[in-house]
Amino acid sequence: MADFSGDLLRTRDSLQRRLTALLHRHGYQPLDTPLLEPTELFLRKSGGELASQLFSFSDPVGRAVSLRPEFTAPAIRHYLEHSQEIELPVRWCYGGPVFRFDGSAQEEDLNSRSQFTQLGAELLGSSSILADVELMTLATSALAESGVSGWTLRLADLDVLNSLLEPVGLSERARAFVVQNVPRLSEGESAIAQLMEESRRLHVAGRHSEDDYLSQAVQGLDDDEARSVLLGVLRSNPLDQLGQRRPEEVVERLLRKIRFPDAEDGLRLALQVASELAQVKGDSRAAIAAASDTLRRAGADTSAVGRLEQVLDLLPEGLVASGAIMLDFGLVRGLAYYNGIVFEVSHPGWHAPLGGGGRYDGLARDLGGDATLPALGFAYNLDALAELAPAAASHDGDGARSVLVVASGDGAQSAVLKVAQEYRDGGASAEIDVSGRSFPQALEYAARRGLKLVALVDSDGTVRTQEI
Amino acid sequence: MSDARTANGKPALRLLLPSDGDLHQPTLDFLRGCGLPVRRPNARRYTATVPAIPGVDVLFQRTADITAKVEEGSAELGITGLDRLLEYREDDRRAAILVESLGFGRCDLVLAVPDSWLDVTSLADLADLALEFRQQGKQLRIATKYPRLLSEFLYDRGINYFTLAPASGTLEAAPLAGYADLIADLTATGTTLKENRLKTLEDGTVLSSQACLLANTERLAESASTRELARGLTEMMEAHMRAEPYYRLSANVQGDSAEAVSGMVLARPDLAGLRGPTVARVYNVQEQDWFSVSLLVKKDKLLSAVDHLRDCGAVDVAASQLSYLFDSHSHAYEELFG
Repeated sequence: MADFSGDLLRTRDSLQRRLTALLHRHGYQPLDTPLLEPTELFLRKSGGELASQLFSFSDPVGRAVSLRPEFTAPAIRHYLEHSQEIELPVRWCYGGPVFRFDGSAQEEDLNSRSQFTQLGAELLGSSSILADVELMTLATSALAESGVSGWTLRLADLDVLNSLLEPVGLSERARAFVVQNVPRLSEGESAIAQLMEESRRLHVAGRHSEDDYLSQAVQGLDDDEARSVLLGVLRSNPLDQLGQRRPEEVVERLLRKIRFPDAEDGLRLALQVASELAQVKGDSRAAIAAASDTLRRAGADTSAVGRLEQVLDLLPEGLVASGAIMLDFGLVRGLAYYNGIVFEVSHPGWHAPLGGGGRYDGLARDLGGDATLPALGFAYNLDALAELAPAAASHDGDGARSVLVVASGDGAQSAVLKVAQEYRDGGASAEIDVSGRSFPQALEYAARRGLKLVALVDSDGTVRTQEI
Repeated sequence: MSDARTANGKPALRLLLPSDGDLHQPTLDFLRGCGLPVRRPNARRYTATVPAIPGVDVLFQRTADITAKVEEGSAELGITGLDRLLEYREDDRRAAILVESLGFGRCDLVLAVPDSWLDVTSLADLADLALEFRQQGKQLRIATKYPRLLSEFLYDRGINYFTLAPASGTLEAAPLAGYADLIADLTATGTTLKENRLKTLEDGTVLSSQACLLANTERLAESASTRELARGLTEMMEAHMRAEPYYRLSANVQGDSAEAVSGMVLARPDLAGLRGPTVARVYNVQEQDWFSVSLLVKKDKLLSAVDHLRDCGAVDVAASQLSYLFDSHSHAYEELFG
């Protein structure tokens, strides 16, 4: 965050009040969480993806802690710690500074680019389509309330991508690899060869020749027989080192590996279909039809497209038609934990997204919850909104009169304090002259500062005023 | 910190050497090989000298502390393992690598999993397992003394879901003791891992390490005389290492002229020395046409080169080990100080 002062700070404060009020009107309750959290919380959420952006250090007793890079993981942590008392669904809104190291910034901008103010909302405990529509509507209402115009909201649904990949039958890791690389695939099929190369380096689709002796041992056996043979092999080793794994888990995974080697062909096919989908973008009706078509041709279930279409139908009229919302199946928002709808708002006047959000039903489990928890949310970069918002919108409450109160001499000090307080009680903003200015000097100063009135106070309490 | 001074008042160069562990004796042996034997008046003293280069003060420090000591400026130079340097270094100007591979103290930082994980043989398996753990709400716990190197290695390969278990004592026992699922540890031969029923992973080598020479370039920049001492030490080490693979061969060959002899030898350019043979007339009483041929040859080509010289009619073939091979300048030193 750069320094904020003057009109810009007033604009941001005002935005924060108005957007928070908007969220309150929709039933969102305030939530605040600590600036410092265990580093583990954020790493569990998104793994190494975020690790290089975290401001992490050891606290004085040696625990790894980080400045929060966002509010979603802390909000879910809060829920998991108080799940007994919290009735679902629950709606929370929040606002405050977050920290993400921006290595691309110039050295002198490193700190200013690495902190910003985030304002957002989370809705936990509902998988209803109404919840999706509410979040999308709120996200666009917040933009309307801020007075920022010229934005674009790109929308996708990761369940559509997941349905498309389903028939290919990938390992979890290969699937994650494909999803992460959707933005590159949206640039066309040329990325596929490159990604295949990378997948070899990352060992996404490894070959397993080293398992040959075990493969041979179970050749020609049905799964049950193979299981018992492999368990036998395993039990011939001491089992005291399995760690958190059970013998059956080792055998199941081994069997899967032997029977379904994660062939490169499968990965290439997945990249191809994903690339086709990732290039679908633009006008929502046409894009919906194109996505359906891609799924049908791949023999995939199309119900996720149907759900997305329903969300679009339920959004306020005009939003979709105006072109401010467009579909873009090349969007994944980088964070691996999203499922369902995902969206991002951009503006030509800002170098990064203004904000975004989506559904993340699996996050609670990733953070240590027993089960998945349907949840979704969005957040905006409030600093960016303040920069882009029209200045006129920023002076609410500032229309009150501003007065400079000046003592006519040393004897008037207590009278000055009393008169200034009377102005303030009356709703004006009163500044006391502490520089011993004469009346003409005070008039000049007030004009420079844009104050509306100068009040000269005598020791007996008489006040002479002059409008500027 | 006050600068150490030599007897003649010039600032001394401080060189840190490992006082313990696997690098202690090999470092002393290496320096002796370089013609820089360390004289330690008393085995309990932590200071010593290098008589070959007056003005070099040797200080013995724990291997693990050497990077930090050089970085904070307690010494200008140090010898430690590349693994320790890369793990602990915070500022690569205050702990710059002068010579990356000194050719001893080789060991690998490797990932090792329990033998009983039959299904895990490669890094791909580990990556997949990390995701599987995550879906079950578990974390893959890795015990290591190299958190920085390991995290970078795994993140770089797209493995994001793991936690580092605090490492103490013998890492190999961590899976058995139950506080980690796998380990990342140093191994030279793999024997200890095997004895603890652990196996390494294909492509699971985090770092191939060996001893390296590091320098605090900021401190060296402050004093020309200290820098000159550092250049002397570095040159001796480099020249010794450069000489190590070579033999010097000399032989007497009969021929019509120096050109004719060199022509015969150069018929096999791969066996004719670094930049071709030196051919010089041998003066003898019989006034026969003998020439002395001398050339440098790699150790693995020694016998082929001897045979080749014999084919050229050579007699009296002598081979000797090289002590030093100086280039036109010190590459390591020039890289840092120009």
